[in-house]
Amino acid sequence: MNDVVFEIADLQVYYGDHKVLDRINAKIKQKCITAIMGPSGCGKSTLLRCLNRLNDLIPNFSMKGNISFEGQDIYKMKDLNEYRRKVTMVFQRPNVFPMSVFDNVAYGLKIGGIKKKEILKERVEIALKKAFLWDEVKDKLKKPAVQLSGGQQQRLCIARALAIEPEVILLDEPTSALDPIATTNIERLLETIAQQYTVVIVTHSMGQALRISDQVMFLYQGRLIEYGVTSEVVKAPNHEMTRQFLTGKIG
Amino acid sequence: MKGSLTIFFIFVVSVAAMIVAAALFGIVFFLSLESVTAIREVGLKLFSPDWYPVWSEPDFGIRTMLLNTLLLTFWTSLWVWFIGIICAFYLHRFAKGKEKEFMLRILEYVSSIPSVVLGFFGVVVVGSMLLKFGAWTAQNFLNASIMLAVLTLPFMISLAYQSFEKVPREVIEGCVSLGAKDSHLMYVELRHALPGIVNAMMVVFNRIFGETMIVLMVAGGANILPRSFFDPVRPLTAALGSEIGEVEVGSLHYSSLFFIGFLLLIGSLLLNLLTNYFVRKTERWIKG
Amino acid sequence: MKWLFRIVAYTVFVALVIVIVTIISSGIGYLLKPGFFTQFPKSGMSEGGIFPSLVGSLLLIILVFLITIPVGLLGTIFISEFAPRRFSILLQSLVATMNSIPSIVYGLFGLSFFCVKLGFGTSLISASLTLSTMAIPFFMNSAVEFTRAVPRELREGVIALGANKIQSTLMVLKASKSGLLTAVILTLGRAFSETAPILVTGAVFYATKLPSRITDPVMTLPTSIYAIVMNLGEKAQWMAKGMASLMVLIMIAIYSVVQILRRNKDE
Repeated sequence: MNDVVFEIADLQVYYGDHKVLDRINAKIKQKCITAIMGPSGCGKSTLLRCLNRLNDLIPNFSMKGNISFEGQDIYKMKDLNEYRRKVTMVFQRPNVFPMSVFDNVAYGLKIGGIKKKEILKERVEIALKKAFLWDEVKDKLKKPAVQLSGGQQQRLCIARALAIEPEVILLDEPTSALDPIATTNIERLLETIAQQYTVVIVTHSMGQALRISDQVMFLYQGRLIEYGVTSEVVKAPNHEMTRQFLTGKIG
Repeated sequence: MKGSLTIFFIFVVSVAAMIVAAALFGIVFFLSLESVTAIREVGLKLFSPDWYPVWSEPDFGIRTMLLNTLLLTFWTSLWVWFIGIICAFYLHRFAKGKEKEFMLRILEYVSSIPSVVLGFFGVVVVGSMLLKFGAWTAQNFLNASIMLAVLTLPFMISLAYQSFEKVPREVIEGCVSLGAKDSHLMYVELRHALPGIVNAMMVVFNRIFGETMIVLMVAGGANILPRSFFDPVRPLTAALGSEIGEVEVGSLHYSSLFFIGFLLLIGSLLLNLLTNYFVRKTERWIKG
Repeated sequence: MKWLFRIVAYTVFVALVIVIVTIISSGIGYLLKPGFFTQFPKSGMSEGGIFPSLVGSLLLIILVFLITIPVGLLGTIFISEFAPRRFSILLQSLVATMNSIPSIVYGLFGLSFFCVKLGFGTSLISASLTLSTMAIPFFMNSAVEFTRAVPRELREGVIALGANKIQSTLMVLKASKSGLLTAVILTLGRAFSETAPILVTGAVFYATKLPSRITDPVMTLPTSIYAIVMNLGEKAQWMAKGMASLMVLIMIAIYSVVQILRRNKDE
């Protein structure tokens, strides 16, 4: 329960000449929910995207320092695509693929090489059940995914991530585009799956971080100000800035 | 295995792109290659006004044809620009619902008419109409101008209309909330749509400049400078189109025709550059 | 003020409607004539039908499709998925430039390169290659807009699930499917209507049999219209009217399909 999954050492991130993250040091723990919170523009998404190397896609991205996953440097991985299947991501706006509900969830499996229909059906059903979406879509599996509501689409994206049985699920402000009921559904869902997967969630809402996370990281202007067990940080923050953020004075 | 497939894929895709790029250079290369003979042997006389390629002492002067092209292009473009912008503004501001939809549909359909069909229409319908109005030949400058206008008006109206539609709502709302008068509003919209409109104007000009079938069929084919609208003329494209089918490959005549083609190519490339230049200049101008 | 605009606009649109209606109506009757579609033209095109021209146009379109779409699609993918940003902008402007070159210039290129240099002569294959040289930039110009329009989140979504470059490209194609289809249809429509390039590289005006090999010359609808109008007399005009009317109807059908596709996409 207390194993370290990610070890971030001295991480500095630049977009061109602009420094976005400054000397981040942190160890992310296994099978719990770690929240990254902070005001807009403080680098939360950037940090998250470093974990699955999604920032590689950005043209003038460069970094110094080191990130390792289960002891291995993530920039020395043999198969990057395989790594991304272990450390997968759900995005802010639900980005369902232009295909049926079933095909969306099965997509990750298919590109991973699993073609057998029976296996696909089984894994899709399990994933949809874990995402608390099965009952709502079980007779609509062949319908286009875009016909689902916003909240359902986001749960579909989570099911899609769960289907490939990752070890880590990264979520980048997954509920910021959703209404309160859909948000609650997803928060409950995350709490359930946190027993099986490591969850790292970036959130703009302090309330959300406090509600669901076990560990919380507070970032401000690219620096890691505080990192610890959520209940402790909230009761007695070590840094003045954390206290100010928690009481709404900055943000 | 996946890795090598990916590499192959990247290779194939890059080759395709290179083929396309090579095509442009190929066109320039081949056209200039074939015109070299004419340039060498006829030289500056290529710009004389007389074109008598099949005489025993042939003349390969393109000046008259070039002037005809320019005359026809400028004259027709002015009309198309003016009328096109007015129609586009009408569509944008005053047309409503079914009327608007109908008009947009008509524009799409007319723009899809093949140019050879428009040429046919010009010969049969417009030609006989012009004869009734006193023209001494059915195929003349005016006929060509009219059919070229029919060819390019839908495009002009459509592009200009889109430019007007793209004017951001905030700009209009800002003016209206300051109590602007209707005519001032029109000026503001025109100003913001101007780069798109300038682009449309240049594209239309380029299109008329390079159009072949219509002028081949209805412009008349006489290598003279027009003194009235009812005179037949022969722009560069028409001369090229009508003679290239019957010429001996490799002859001086052949090479001179390629020289005309080369001029048309350079002309359209230049117009393209000018288009970008004018559009950028307009954009800078409206930003003040 | 408004009325001034209205008068101009109405005059123009009425004129355009008259043009299109006249073209269609003056020829549509002939389309119903028995044998119009199935017979060869006879007696200097004053009798018979348009069969060879129809077949010729069809063959030409099929060949152009086979050459243009693969190359055009691959080139489009290169520009939007693989090329580094500066290079892709350069290629896009190259393609846009090629789009503005007069069609007769393409005809000359086709003549000197395909017909003479490569030795294909006046033939179906020369005409197809020439038209394809014109059609590929036209296709790529629209297609790139559609693939570029696929939102970044979609691409990131597949990559986050571990997709490699080929798989993410396939997803982009799937997402821009209807736009690409529109581009294909419009490109083929354009190739169907073009006359100048094939006049020079592939067409004959009066054939007694269909092209049996790819190196045979071919009759097409637009070149036949041209031939009748310029070279043959009053008696053959009915055939040209029929062909003109047919061509316009086909183009209207094509644009209607495109409109339907556009409306479906917006839903």
